[in-house]
Amino acid sequence: MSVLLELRGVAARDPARLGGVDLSLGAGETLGLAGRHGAGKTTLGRLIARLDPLGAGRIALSGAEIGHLAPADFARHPLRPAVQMVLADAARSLPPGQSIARTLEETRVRLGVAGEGAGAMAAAGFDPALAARRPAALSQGQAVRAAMARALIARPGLLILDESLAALDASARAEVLLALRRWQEETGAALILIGHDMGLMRLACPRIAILEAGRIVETGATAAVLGAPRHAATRALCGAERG
Amino acid sequence: MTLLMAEAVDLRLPGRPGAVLDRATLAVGAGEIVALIGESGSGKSLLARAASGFLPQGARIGGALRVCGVAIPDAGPARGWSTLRGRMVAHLFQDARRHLHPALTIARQIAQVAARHGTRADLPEAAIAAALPGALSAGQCQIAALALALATPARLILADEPTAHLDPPAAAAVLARLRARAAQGAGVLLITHDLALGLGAADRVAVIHAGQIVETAPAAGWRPRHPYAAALMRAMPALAPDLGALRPVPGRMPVPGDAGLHACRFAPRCPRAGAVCGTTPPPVRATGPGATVACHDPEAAG
Amino acid sequence: MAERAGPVLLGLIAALALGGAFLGLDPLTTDVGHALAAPSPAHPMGTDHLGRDVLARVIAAARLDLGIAAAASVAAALGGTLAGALAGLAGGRAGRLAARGADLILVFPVYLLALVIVLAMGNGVGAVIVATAVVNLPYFLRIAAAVAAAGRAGPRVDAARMAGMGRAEIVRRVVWPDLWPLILTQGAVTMGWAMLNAAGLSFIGIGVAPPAAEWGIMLAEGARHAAAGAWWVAAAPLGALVATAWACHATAEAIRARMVRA
Repeated sequence: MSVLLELRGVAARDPARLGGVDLSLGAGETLGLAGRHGAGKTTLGRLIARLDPLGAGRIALSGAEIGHLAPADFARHPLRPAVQMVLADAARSLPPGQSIARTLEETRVRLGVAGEGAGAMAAAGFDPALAARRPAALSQGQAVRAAMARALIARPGLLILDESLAALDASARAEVLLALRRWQEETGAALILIGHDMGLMRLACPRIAILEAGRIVETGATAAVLGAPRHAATRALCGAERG
Repeated sequence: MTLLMAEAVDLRLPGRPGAVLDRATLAVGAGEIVALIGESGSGKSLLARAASGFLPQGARIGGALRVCGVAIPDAGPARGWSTLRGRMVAHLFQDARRHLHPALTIARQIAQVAARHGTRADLPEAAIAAALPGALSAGQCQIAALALALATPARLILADEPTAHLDPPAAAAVLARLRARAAQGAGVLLITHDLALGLGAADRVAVIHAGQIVETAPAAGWRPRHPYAAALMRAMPALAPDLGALRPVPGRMPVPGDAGLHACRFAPRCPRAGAVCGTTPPPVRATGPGATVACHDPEAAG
Repeated sequence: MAERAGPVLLGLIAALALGGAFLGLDPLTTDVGHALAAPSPAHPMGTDHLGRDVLARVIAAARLDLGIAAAASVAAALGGTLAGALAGLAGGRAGRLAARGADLILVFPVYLLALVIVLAMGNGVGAVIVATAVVNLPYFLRIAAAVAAAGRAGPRVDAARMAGMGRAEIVRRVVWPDLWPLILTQGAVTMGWAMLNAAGLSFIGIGVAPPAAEWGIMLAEGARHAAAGAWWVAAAPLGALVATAWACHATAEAIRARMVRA
């Protein structure tokens, strides 16, 4: 398996939010980033997606250094489509004044991707009948899936979901998980799931990294880490679930 | 005493041809936590709003709804909602921030409520108590709203997704406080779409689909009998052995207020549906102590 | 329906003001023999202390007052929006500097500041326009700075960047669509205030001078005679001012209701 993503000593501008993090991800892998509220998982996800400037460290995507570029500059970089993120506030990330179909098509054209939107919508589990609507006319769950479709239309090699599934019902969540799995199998893309739902992590992510106070405190095969947690933070996440 | 008693309650909203709640029967007694579980749009929040009077103008309630023994007709309780809200009933809204006073710190708001009712209130952690709602995250607002609700002497607590924005340790803390309050004699209606959460936190569960309550049962060791409840169970990540075993519920839930729905609103998607399911409302059968199923299929009733 | 009352009234007033030039009314000729005549068919709003037809003066004044207000509002909008947008997009020191500048203008008592500017520039319509524009500029600056700052961060901007939008396109697609309805609304509000500012300056004798027909001047003259019983000399310009100011604000509300997304 080739290495898709490599992080060395990555820290945010405010080191308290995220200190030195080392991480690597292979092509086609699925990784869970779990932790308590404020542990740094969203911060790390945003740094990987190049939405925030790095405070320190290096990020390499498919061997190319991308960490040093400012977010506004990376927007026009050829590797921009390769890493996409579905934000925690997905519904508010969609342009409010136009239909979903228009947003998808514009994104596709701007990023120079061939094909059309139907595949991205299917992969996100977004009902094409809703594509003519504007974001305000969608339910929370539908908006999340529209935002996912927008990320997928870029044909990314790496997709990051930030608590995106939390807004969905159990059934919708199941649909999306299965659709994502199929998409990964077809495209060979890697997936990072950020969240704190251990049931979801156990099911969807073979590998997991636990964050606490801006650092990775435990990492490894999900079954092993959750089955025999060594760090207090991991125990807090698992134990609390069993209630 | 039964703090919330809904018997065959229909709820109609202005502008919607159909009933958004259809013959809903549910009871919450003192000292227990009942989880009302349903997808978004299933009407679970509306049932809570009917019990605290936060319905749109022109809403009509059929059947019998009683809150802390007080009858609730369309126009609200005879002596007005102010006699019930805060004193007997507390409602925790899904959108917690919008229901907090924007210009007072949390500590002030809690102190005001405690002073009005003569109760002693527990403040949340300092970071939350000293802040204005605008400076708090969604999860912190939920914690603040819970503290406010628990500062009232209310005996019926309607908690709508109280842990939605919280990580596991914070969610566990919220549920523990609700449990403690129930132990003091309150009744809690815990509304959520998360079946795993409901099963873990509640004494009894009730499953609602498109405005109809399809099954109620004690939470401990529950094996779902109704086809919809069983399908929900199969869609839950926490309960599935692996990704391959996950089964989304096929099709889409009908919108409760629409016209022309089947008598049993799950019938179009139900693997065990028969002709009678479209025309005749399913009978509510008891399947054990505190357990009911609304289904025509004799197998469901066991 | 009620929402249209404002713009309709404003349109009527503007039409009357512009069309008034062609109606053959005479606001300037004096006729001291018929001074302070009560309203009658010949003079629907009576005559003032110099025998001039009050109605003719009210309509002529509408042209002047609306003209001053419009010019000042446009100047304030252009200047304030540009400065605010640049400051908001730049952020950091520039942003803070602009905000402090706006605050400085707002902190000054309005008439004091206007007085200083008019006296520095010399009495006249031009000075009034500049003074009124300066006094109203901060409102546009603040709005533009706030909206532009939102164009630096937030979920819309993140998604736009991931979709390959560069800085210029983000300004065009994310900032501008949110900005212009707010500026338009503020523009209508400012029209109302600018008119009151200009009339207020003339009322205290600054800016536009008699014998020009201007509502502030007419109010000042009329106030003297109201005590003697000639209520129409002050009531007419007062009514016109109030009606126009209300129409401007109602128009602003109509714009906001239609165009500004919640």
